[in-house]
Amino acid sequence: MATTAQHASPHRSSSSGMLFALIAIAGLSLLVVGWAVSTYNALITGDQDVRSRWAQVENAYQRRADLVPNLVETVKGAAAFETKTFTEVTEARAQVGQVSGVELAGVLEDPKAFERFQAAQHTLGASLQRLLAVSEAYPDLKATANFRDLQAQLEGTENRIAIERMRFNEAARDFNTLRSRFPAMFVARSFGDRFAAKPYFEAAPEAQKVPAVRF
Amino acid sequence: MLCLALISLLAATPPAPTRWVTDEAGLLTPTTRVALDRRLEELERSTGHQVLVWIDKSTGGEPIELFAERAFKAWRPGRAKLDDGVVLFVFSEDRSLRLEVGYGLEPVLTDAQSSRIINERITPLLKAGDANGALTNGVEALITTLGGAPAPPAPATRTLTTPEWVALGAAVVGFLVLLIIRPDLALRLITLMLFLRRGGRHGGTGFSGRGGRSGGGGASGRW
Repeated sequence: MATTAQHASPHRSSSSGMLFALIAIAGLSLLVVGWAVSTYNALITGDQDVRSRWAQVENAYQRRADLVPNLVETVKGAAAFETKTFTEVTEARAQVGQVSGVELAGVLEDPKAFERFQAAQHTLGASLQRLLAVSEAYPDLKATANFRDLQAQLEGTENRIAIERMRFNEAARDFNTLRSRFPAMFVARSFGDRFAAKPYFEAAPEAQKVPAVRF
Repeated sequence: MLCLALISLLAATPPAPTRWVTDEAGLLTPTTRVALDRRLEELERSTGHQVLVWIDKSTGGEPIELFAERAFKAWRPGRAKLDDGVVLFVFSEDRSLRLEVGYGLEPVLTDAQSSRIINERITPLLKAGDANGALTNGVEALITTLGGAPAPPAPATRTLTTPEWVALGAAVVGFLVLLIIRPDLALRLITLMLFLRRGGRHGGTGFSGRGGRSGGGGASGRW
């Protein structure tokens, strides 16, 4: 009887030891999977935040582009000879139209496309500033209610652009931090380009401020 | 743009105002301030829009647009889904002012209109030294512009769904059991809940933001 008892117990303890190990491994795996799922969801949420902020940026820029035809017509009415400035603005707007068309879909994924978008918008902004500067020389133009309204709209739009860019950068920073952290980076990288780093809006070479023309 | 953003991070946002008109610079006489405060409180009561006037001496070197954006984001005037808040910022030493308009009111109070209110109703009187007249004019112009939009109807009270009834039933049963087993704990629970209710969002006096947002719409001016 002693021998059977001795024979039975090591067999039992090793099988219960194995069972315990299996349970422990299963438990750990569940924890890891749970963490991975919640990290993935956090990345998805962060990604969506950036995309919705980007949509706001697009809106603000589009608003500005929409003001251009009206502004050019109004200024032409009083300052018909400033053809160089008008051509500049019209061309800059056409350029913006190009980068905002088909390319816009992948602009967050492709750094070069993002770069082109920024550059085109910056050019339009600069040419609009020149248009306003030119208008300074025409007091009759400045006095018209129409021009004043357009100017107010342009200032408001530039402010909106600045604010939406700032908010986009904040969302991009939050996302980029999330995806680079340890150990979340493993989840981020295992999905290929899905969670690639987001670009930032850079300050223009010359500081671009809200057009400071006020009455 | 980047260093401006850094500066704004370092500067502190003033705490949310408790009245509709706040005058930290002593620009207005108390009579005017109280009168305007009442007008704006009335506007909120009748239309639900939250319009604030914030007067201070200076932004401390920060562009008024950035200050306005931060303050609006912190104070959240206007209702959450409707974003119908407006703040008129006036800085007496900087001699600058700004109307910051929430998303929801942008179609009604456009940038062009904000600019007109500032340049036609407010700054001429400020230049002439009549701050009370200027602000009164400005507030009246704002009320006129915004007054047309009616308040949306109050949300309909909804009845409880089945799972909610079940949960409510379970909570009641649980409470009764607690009452039998540990009456002292049940009593504590009751007093706690009553205390929480009283501190709720039923403040009848003063302003408190309702979650509105702005995207930088409005206009700025100087005098």
